[in-house]
Formats: sequence, structure tokens, C-alpha cells
Amino acid sequence: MAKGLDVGTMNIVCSGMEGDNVVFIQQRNAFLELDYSDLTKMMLDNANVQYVIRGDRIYILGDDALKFATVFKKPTRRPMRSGILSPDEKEAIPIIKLILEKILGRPDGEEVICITSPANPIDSDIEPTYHRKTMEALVKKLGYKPFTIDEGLAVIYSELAENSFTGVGISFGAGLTNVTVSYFAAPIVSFSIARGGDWIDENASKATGIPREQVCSIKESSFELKYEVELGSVEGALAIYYDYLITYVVENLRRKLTEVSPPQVEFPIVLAGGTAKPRGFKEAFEEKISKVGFPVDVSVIKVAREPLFSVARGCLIAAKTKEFR
Amino acid sequence: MWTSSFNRAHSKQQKVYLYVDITKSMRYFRYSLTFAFGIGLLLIGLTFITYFQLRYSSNPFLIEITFSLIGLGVPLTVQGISGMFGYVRYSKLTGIVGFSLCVFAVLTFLILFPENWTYPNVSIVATAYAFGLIFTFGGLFAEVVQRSIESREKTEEVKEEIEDLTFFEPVNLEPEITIKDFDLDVKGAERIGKVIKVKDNVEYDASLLNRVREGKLEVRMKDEEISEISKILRDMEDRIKRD
Repeated sequence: MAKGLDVGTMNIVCSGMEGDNVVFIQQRNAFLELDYSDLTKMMLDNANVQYVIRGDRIYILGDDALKFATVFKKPTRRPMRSGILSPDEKEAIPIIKLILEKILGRPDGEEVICITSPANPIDSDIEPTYHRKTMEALVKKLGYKPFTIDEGLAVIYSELAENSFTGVGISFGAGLTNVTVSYFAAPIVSFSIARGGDWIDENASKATGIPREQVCSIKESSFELKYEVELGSVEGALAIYYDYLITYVVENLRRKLTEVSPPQVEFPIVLAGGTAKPRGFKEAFEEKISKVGFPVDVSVIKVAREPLFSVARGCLIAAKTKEFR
Repeated sequence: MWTSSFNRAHSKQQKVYLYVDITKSMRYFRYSLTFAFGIGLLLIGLTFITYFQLRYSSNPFLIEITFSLIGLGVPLTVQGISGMFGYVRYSKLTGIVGFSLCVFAVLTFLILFPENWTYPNVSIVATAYAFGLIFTFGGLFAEVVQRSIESREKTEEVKEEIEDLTFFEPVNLEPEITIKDFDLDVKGAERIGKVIKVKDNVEYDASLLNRVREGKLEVRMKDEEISEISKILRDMEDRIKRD
């Protein structure tokens, strides 16, 4: 049985088949470190929370970390930053390993798994090779046979089957924005931009003085991308930075496409990733594209059916093709 | 794995090269001596002709000596050249036959001259010598042509081999990372995260992706669309060639 795995800065999503159904398992890629005490341990046991005891520390994993961060008034920590393993986080690898173990489980025999890997960023010196190889090794350790594909290509596999996998796939993640242009399933342009949801949260937080976690919570719950916003509000700051990010992505995509002189066919564009979820995102993107003028004809711009699971679904499709062989 | 087998093959190849180098230099030494000896005989013979101003009425012994020197000098020189090239196919047999015919002719000439140096003996000896030279030169010529063809084939083979190594067996130099066990156990709930089940056509999409990758996608389209796509493919091919 094949599986797909999207290891993102904010979420880890695993996809697999269960009969005719696709099962997505989503977990926050975050943890909370607490001092060990019997009282804390008892409280966590009662709350049925996933935690790890290491020395005199307790680590709460995944979604629970976010919930308990407010209870204990401590910030959550993230094993990944800017789309790759965080070099500042010494617990990154053990924590990710534990989360992966929990969401993937052990394989039934020789299972192929496709993992996403960020493309090389064009505006930062981030080098994704170490991250990619570490993820492969972690998954191999669990008994899977891993291989990697670019995040943008996974979006194309997931959403553009009707277009013979020709088009532009953009994954707006938390740490990075990954872009791939593909022609009949073969990538012709693939790059990433070192800006994403985290960059929006951080800048909106700085601009308004509201804590980042709160900004993120507003963004994920009620935010709608529109250009008429209340001055000084979090929504206003979010709209400004969303607009800035979209402009930046569109400009870079246009520049990259000009460099490669792509085939003269109509390219659909698919927007995926958690950052592409707010209402009005697609319209804002369409507007930017129409303003900038593109070197290729764009047939349609659409948001993935399930933006958060699109990459994992694309990985599952890629893994399935290996299974056929 | 590729590099280790390459190293083994390389060291084996080095031993073979060493052996080949020694035998090669020995052969060069031997045949360069033959060549020098042949040239020497030719030069002495030519010197005799000039110095003694040889003619029909000259001393028969002098004529015998001079023409024996030249008669042996020519095939020896050619044999030296053939030997330095290295006998591969033709020149060994033809060389031996040719040289033997030349020696036979010279010896017959020494026996017959001057008393019996008459028709048909002269014709027989001359024919034998001429055949000897034809065999010696012919062998050398065939050798040169054969070598030129083989070297061209070898160059193409090596080129193909290099292309094979470069394009069809990419060397994976990325290290394998092994992960140390952290000996940690997650306590608490069996929950593994948010689980979402959806009915999906992943299998169909995957088979479609396979077909597209293998170029087996069946697309129903009009003739104009086919020619349009052909044009795009041609443009792409041109661009790839240009790049």
C-alpha cells in the first residue's frame, strides 16, 4: 500500500488508501516543552494528551501543544522553520520522528511512500538537501521505501489530472511558497520563495502589536481577503501582507517563465496550501495575474479542492504510480 | 557500488597496461633494430653502386654483394616498420611469406649469377622477388588500413561508453543518513491527529499520471490540434538542441 507524506512547517499530513476512501491524517508540526512534575503529568494523563518525558522535561506534541500553550502561557516550538528542519531547534529530529511514527504507523510489508521536498528558494540561501535526506532517513527507519518530489509538482499531480498534468501548481505553505510549472507531468520550472504564512503572521504581528499566535488564529478562523478593511485591525495588516506575498509570487513566477520560454499552450493555475485557504485569495491572485501580464496563456485559476491536503494527495498519486510498476 | 567496481576494474586494467607497456617497448626495440639494419644495408648497397660505378661488366662478386645488400635491405626495412606497428592480423603471415620470397630470390641470384643468369632463371628470380615485395608492402598497407578502421570503431565505442556512464547511470553521491534511535515513547492518547476520510479517485489519477509519463495517453483531438501540438513539440526540440 502506497502512502503520501506532506511534511510542512506548520502541519504534517499523511495520506493513504482505505478501500475506496483516501484517509488524510493531519497533525500540527509543533511541540510544547514543560518542566516535569507529577501534577503536570497527571493533568496531561487526564486530558488524554500525547506527550513525551525526556529527563526532567515533558514535551507535548502536535495539536495538543497549541491548546496547552495558552494554559501554561508558554510559546509552542516548531521543529521546522522556513520549510526545512530548524537549525536552531535541537529537538527537531526526535520530535518529528515521534510525530511521523504516530501518524504513519508501521508499514504492511514493503510500502512505498512519497514525501514532499521544498524546491530551491530563489530569494534565500536555504539549502533543502539536508532536510530532504533526513526526512527520507526518518521514514526509512520506520520501514518504508521513500522517494521525494517537489511540493509544487505534488499540487499538479493532485489537481491537474484532467489537464494531463500540464499547468502551474503553487503551494502556499507556512514556511515557503513552492511553485512548479509542468508540461505533461514533466516539471519545466520549479522554485520556492522564502515567504509564506509565517511571514504574513510575523509581519502582521509586528505591525499591530498582537501576539503571533493570535494573529495566526485569526487568519485561520475568520479572515477573509478583501481590500476594504478596518484601519489598524489585524485583518487589515493580514490583507496588506497577503497582497504583498501574492504580488511577490506572481512577479517571480512571471520572471521565471520568461527565462525558460515555455510551450505556447494554456496553463491552468492551482493554488494550494494552508495559506491559500482564506476566502478571496483566488480573486486576489486573479487580479494580480491580470495586472502583471503573463508570458503564457492562463486558462483558469482555481483553488485546490482541499488546499491543506492537496500536496499529500499529490504525493499519494505519485506513490501509487510506483506501486503500479 | 559503482565507484568500487570501477576501482577494481581500473586496478586490473593498470596491471594489464604495465604488461602491455613492457612487451610493447621490447617489440619496438627489436623492430627498430630490424628497420635500422635494413636501412643500413640499403645505404651500403647504394653507396657501393655509386662508389664502384656498377655496370654489367663490373666484377660479378661486387654485383652479387651490392644487389644482395639492396635485395635484403628493402624487405628488412619494411618488416621493421610492420613490426613497430605491431602485427595484428595480416602483416605477420604476409610479412614472413614476402620476406622468405625475397631471401629466396636473393639466394637464387647469388647461386645463378653470373653463369646461369639467363632466361627463364632471371624471370623466375625477378618474379619471386617482386612477389616477395608485393607481399611485404601489401601486408603493411593492409595493416595500416585495418588499424585505422579499428581505431575509429574503438573511439566510437569509448564515446558510447562515456555517454552511457554519463547519462544512463547517474552516480548517486548523496550520503545515506542513518537516524539514531531516541528511545522515546509517546504516552497518552492513541489519537494520532485529525483523521479525514474522503471518497476519491486517486487510483484513476495515478494510472493517468503513469500513462502521461510513458507517453501513452490517448487523447481525442482534431487534426489541427495534432499539428498544433506537433509544432509545439518541434519548437521544444529545437530549443533543447539550441540549449
